[in-house]
Amino acid sequence: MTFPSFNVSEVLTASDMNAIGLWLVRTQTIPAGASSVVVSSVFSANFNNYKIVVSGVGSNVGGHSIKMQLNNSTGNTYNIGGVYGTFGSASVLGYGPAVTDSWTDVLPLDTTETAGTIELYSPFLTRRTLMSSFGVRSGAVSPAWYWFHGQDTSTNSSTGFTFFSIAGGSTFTGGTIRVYGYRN
Amino acid sequence: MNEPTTRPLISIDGALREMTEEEHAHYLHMTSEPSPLMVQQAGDHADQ
Repeated sequence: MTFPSFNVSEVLTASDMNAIGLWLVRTQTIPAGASSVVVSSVFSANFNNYKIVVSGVGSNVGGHSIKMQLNNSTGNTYNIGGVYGTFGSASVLGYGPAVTDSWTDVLPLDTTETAGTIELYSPFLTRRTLMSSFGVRSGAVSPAWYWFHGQDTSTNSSTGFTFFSIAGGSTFTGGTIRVYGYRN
Repeated sequence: MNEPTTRPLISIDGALREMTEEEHAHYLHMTSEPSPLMVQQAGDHADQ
């Protein structure tokens, strides 16, 4: 077998299958009208590190963000910081809010189209969880990009997470969340 | 007689339903204040 190209009717050996580095754990649709989105039972001992890909996401309110909280870590243990900007401007702006109970602006959110990726390190392990995220919103209200990093100093083991449409009273209008695990 | 309440909707693993009272309280706590970035971006726009 010439990895990674598989042919029809070829035997898939354990060594070939175990060489697959990125495993799709869950694909989940965001229903229109939801103000918060719970994704449960996606982190486990199977993988230490995860990639969360969010695409096709919209909101009924323009120019805001997605807030993320791990399911077993709800205290004031989250930091986030990095840089962001808006299309049409060469300015790169810094962001570094005080410690709080979630990653407050993990991805941008707008009326038309939002996409982004969250890299999550060790959410299931009983150690600090680290996060890197980057995303873009292509809305009519405030097209922008975020490039943030974060830490959760809690060592609680989490199995899932919640996204909040951060503007009070706002909702998601749809989208897809895909959670992948990196082979240990 | 109590008025029926309408709480925001929550998606649990793709299934959409009305939030419970406890979920609603948590939601309000998480979204009651604008994020620091929204505040900062509003300032950015005001400066332009």
